[in-house]
Amino acid sequence: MDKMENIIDINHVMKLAKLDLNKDDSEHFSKELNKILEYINMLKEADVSQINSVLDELDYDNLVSGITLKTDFYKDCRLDECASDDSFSFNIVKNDAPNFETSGETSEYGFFVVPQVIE
Amino acid sequence: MDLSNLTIHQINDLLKCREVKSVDITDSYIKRIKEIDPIISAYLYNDFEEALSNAEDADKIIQKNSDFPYLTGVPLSIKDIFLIKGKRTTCASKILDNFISPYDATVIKRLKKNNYVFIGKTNMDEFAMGSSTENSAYKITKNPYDLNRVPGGSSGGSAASVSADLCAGSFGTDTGGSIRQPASLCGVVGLKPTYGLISRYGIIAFSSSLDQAGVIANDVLDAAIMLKAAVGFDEKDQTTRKLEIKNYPEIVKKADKLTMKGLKVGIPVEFFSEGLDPKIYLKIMEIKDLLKGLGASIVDISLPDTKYSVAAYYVIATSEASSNLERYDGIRFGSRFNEDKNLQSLDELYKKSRELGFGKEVKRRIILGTFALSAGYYDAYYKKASLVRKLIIKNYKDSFNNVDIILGPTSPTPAFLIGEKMSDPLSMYLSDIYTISINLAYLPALSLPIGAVENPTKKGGVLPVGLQLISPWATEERLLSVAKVIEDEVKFREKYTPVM
Amino acid sequence: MNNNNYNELHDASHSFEAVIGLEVHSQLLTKTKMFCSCQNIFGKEPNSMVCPVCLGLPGALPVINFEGVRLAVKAALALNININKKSLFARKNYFYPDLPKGYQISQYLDPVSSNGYLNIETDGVEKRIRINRLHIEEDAGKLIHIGSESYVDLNRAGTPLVEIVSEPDMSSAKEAVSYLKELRDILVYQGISDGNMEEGSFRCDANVSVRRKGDEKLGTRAEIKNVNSFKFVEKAIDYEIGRQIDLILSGGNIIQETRLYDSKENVTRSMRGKEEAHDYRYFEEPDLPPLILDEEFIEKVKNSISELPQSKRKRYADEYALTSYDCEVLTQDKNIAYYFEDLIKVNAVNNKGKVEIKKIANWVINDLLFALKGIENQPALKKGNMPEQEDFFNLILEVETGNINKNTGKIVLTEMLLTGKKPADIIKEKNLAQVSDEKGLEGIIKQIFDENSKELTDLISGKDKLFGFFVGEVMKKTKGKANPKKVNEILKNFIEEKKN
Ligand SMILES: [Mg+2]
Ligand SMILES: [Zn+2]
Repeated sequence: MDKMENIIDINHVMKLAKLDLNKDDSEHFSKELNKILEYINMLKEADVSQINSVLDELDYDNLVSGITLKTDFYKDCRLDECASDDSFSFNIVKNDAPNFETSGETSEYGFFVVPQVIE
Repeated sequence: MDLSNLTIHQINDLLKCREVKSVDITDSYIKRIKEIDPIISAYLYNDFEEALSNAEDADKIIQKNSDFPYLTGVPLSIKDIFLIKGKRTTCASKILDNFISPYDATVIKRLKKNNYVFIGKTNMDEFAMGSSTENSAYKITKNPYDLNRVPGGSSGGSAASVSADLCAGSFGTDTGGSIRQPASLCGVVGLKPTYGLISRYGIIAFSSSLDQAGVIANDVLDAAIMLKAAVGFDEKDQTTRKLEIKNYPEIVKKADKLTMKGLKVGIPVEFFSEGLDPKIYLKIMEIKDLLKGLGASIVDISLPDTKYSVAAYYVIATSEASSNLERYDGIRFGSRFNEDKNLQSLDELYKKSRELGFGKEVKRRIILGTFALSAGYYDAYYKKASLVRKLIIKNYKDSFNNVDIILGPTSPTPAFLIGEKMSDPLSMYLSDIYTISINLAYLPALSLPIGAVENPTKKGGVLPVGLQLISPWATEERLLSVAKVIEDEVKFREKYTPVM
Repeated sequence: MNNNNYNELHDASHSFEAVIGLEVHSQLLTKTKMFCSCQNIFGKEPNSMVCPVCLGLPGALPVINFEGVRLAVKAALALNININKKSLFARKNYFYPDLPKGYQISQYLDPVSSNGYLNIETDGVEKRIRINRLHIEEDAGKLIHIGSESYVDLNRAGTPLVEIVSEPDMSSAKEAVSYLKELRDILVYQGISDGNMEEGSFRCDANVSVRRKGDEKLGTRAEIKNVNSFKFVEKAIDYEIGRQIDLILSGGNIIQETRLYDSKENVTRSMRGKEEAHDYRYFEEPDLPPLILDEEFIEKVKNSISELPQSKRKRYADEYALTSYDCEVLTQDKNIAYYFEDLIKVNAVNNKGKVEIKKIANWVINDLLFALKGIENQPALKKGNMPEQEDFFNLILEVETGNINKNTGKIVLTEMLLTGKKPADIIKEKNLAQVSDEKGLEGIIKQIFDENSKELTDLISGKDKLFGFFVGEVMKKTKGKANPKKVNEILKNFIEEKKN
């Protein structure tokens, strides 16, 4: 059937995901994943026609909680006010970073350093 | 008096009448951890110094006030997925091997306000991906009922730490059953609340629309106590809800078997199909009969689209995970694997860090999720799975028009052997078949130990069986009340203890 | 080929037309970032304006800054773009060191606004440019390249942007610049963006293709990035159009690619090495709820929009009969436009005398703006830097009523700008009032006639050019304070007399 069309192009996907597997591993993965995909392909049978037609009615809040998404929900958004997370410590971040250079001798701040980005 | 075999409410009683100090309780847990955990491996690391200092702080508060929160002075373990400022947090992954949290998760902030005692970080499947805790990059946690068996996962370390009395309770997370399944396999109570009830801020994300923090406890009242301490709207997590905070412990205390009269209990036919261990089936039927005997009416229901739940789950969860895990790039935190920094290109830095930092299951899921979102496949996979998710939500919604609560097994089998399913990811995925649909539907569910079955590989040994209760959106109090009534009838804790 | 070959080659480049679409990214003037409460500020120490959210730390979650939404809606309304009452945030996934999460939170399938237009005028010709969409997204951090390394600063990461995508409705570089200028004027006018192209808070990418006139089908397009001034946008597009036509005429093929503009060489260059297939794997941001806007809110934002420069220009031309040049200059900065409008109001209500509006306009354009530029270290034009409207109007009156002459007026204006003093006080202090008194002036003129009898004789005998000489002499004697009109009158009368 159309089983072949869904075989994962593992090299393309690894490129997107910035993963680099050796040939053996990637072949092994490929096999496993295609078996999982075969199982997942059962989704194709699912009849979602009624969902498509009443998509709005089935919105998360309404559907799950019975509450209609409040139109004034934006009042739950963040106000445009500066605030610092009292528990956050940049010093821990800095000490932990794999490669960090302070911007000056006395500075707590500075840059994360990476190999040259090729433009 | 063994102070490490107590429930939270028992500890609270003792502290209230000042019979013991938190330091004494903490000390006896520390002793027990030193003695037992080398066998169980529930913890990734402990911080006994911190624990004792927390306990001293708690004792000071207890001395000053007669009224203090339930969790004051109570030693709790935390799944290594919650960020605690200044503490190592690895999510059981090599890529976060040296990561020190620069901030507190909201749940941790709330626990600190309750003056809890932090006793250690528990083992888990790497990035919460797994059902056996075998995917940890560091160690394999054993099931306290049989050291050759898994504790379940991904919160396996948390469940084992509670089951083996290595803490008084534990906070875990549940994306597809990660609290309920290990709770079931280890004979403890596991509660996954409604999505949005507990803030996810500061919890390392696996799948954002499915992840939910929850509790693993010795009994139902403890679960209610822990739940109340953690719930509530958080301005740092826009998926949390502004709901009235209910007094779960008080509600549980008032639970009465008389209220079972007229309760409509739904039994979904799909949860009792092939693949379910017949012995577990019989255990669940006992509870059905028990409730019937108490005057509940049993209603056969159908959740026809839950047959797609594992498939839909693995598409949605891996897709979101593939994106959530993109931040592990070796730049700002965690491990950068670069032996020769100067020769490395940026692309190599990414690939090396991720190649050496992530374990097999994590990579497997990143690849699956990246594929499901990639150009040309999005509609067939991610979009279709999201629509199927709505079907499943609708199944539950329709059912709850007719019943008050749904009842079924938590896991299709009792604890399986270490290594049994590692070579077959699909069979591992299917061990969450009864728990996954609840995450997809954003609903609350609780696993309650209701008995045990014979352990086929250990003479005279038993393996716990969990019952799963599911209730409508944000009705945790109903779950807890019904669970409490059943708990009082089956008396699991009186009958079973792990033998190590 | 065919017979048309000759003609084609003969007038080859005229048989092509360019098709240009612009993508504009504009930062929003919020106090804090789009999804965290870090300050949205430029020029601070690297990585000093960061938090777990904009650093992309594990466990951090975004929360929508509603002011960002409000400004985006305001921008959309000002640009005649239709507001979508329900919109969704989406993740755009790719790896880059300036993108800490590995994805950008943007909008994709359901943007906050879509389908609008902007009317532009190029060389007197009006044209409507359709706008496909305006959506909200977050900015990336900054990279500094030093040697073999790149340095990552995330202060800008997570600051709010709107992306405004036009339809490919422009057919020349000039039109593209008109569109950009108009767009920027509007955003700056409405306080939505500071519109600073050099600092990168207003950025533009141009999609350019060419096709033979009459062709329906669009040619293959190139995307030009990295253009940071209006002048360069024009040059880059012109260069690119020429390059594409030359390439086609010489039998080559245009490839779809991203090109960078090099302003030193005035060329566009292909961005080699970055041609990996772009597959952003967009999907709905599971950490954020849908954005739901109601009519009341949209109405409120609508009412907060002030008159747009376009409509001001039209109104100035219609009501005040100003030239299109005057209208252009007066509206290029909203502070100047408002200042001008305030002057008109002062003129209307004051009872010391009325001034022609054309004259007020001239004062603003020729004198005020000129004087402001002439002051050293003058910061940008801001309300606080300009004289009080009352004072400036009084200065105009002083000149119009002849109390001082125009040149003295300019001196007084500079003094006003430097000291903030009122014009009347400056005139008094420096004794700058004109000598208009006839007797006095007659005396001075007679004295000058005596001293320059030869010139006087020449003038009387018909050397009219010498008239100016005498005016100049009077001005010299009076240190420029003489009323030139009066001087003219008196001189003429004297000469007439003498001629007779
Ligand atoms: Mg964009
Ligand atoms: Zn921030």
